Amino acid sequence: MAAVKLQLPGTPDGAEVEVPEFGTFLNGSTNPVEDWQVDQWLAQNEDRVWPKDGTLVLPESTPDPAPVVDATPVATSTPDVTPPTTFVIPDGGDS
Amino acid sequence: MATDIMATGFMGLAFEATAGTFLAPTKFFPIKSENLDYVQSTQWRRVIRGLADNIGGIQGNSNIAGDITVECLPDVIPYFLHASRNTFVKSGITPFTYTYTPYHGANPQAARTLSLTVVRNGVTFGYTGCIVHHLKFTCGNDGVLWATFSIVGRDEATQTLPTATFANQSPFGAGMYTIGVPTGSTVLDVDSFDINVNDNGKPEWRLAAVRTPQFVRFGQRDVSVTMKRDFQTRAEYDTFKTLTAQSIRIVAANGASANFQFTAAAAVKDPYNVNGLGNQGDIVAADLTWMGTYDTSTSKAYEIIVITTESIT
Repeated sequence: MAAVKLQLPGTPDGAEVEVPEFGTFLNGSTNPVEDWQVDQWLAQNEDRVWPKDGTLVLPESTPDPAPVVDATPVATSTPDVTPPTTFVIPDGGDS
Repeated sequence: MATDIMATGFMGLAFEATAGTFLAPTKFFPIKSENLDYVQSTQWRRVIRGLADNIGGIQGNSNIAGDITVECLPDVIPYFLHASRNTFVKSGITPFTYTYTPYHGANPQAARTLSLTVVRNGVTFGYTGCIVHHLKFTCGNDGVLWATFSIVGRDEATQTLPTATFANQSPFGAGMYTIGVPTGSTVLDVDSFDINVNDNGKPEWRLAAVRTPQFVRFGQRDVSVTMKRDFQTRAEYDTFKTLTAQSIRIVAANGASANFQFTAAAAVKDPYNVNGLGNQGDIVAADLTWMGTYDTSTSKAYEIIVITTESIT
């Protein structure tokens, strides 16, 4: 059964809080909601899913930031390194 | 996304733990209007190279600016006052009394910047690093008290669409006002009033690896109260000519748990315009503006007190 739980930090427990399209509930309470209300919420939040445990807690917490992707290209081949030139110093002999 | 009307939009806010880092809204509030904008100073390339055209743009400094007008709900305005140039003292236990005292430094208080979320046609805009630098409280003859908060902030990015919640609070309206000119002497001739506290906030950019402001700050403060009053005697008019300071207080009260109070302890009238004679049926009235000056007795130019059941730390 889907539910909406209210835990507004600044609002006194027991105060009336309206959640548009869900109803008016008391802060601190957990309230069952209908499937059509969940469907409506999902329609408005196309990129999200209803919480797995069935209870939407309001206000919602800040989503975790997206993982940082390292955009640095990864080397896949041996770098082309020119071997150092070897200089042969001729034996100067006596000059 | 289909076209939609503005009625479907909403706003919320949260205090930031780190200035400029977005946090999802914890408080939602009904608004009359908002015009928050991402502003960028694009530098256009008008260089001489044989062409009459604009060659292109160079990204310039950017910031957030705009106004939010809300019903002056006692559970909402303390959040904005917390983000203004005021320190506050919280007292009492449900209802709480918040006493706001202006300070003079340029910097916003730590952990008092706001993340503001605006949903327009289902699209979420998250504004970060926002402070309130101009407070305006307006009441017309209909008795409805409106608050306009001017915002300056750092940056904007899209965010997850939040689910809004709204506390069931009543706005201030007709029959809830006590206006003292001077404080303690209730007057019954006020038609409308405006309260303005402008701290002239500005974004401050520095040459760095980002285009957003390094910080936002306050400037000089301008405090004023404007009223339209019936003109009956010369008494007030004469004290305008002598620039005599007086205390004024405006109180809006909706029961014991919802109260808004503004006091300017050393207000000086200027200008005082007695309306010229014109239409036969009009009441002879006057438009007054008080400049709020620094009061050496109370050590402040103004004070705001809000009584509400909302608990903010």
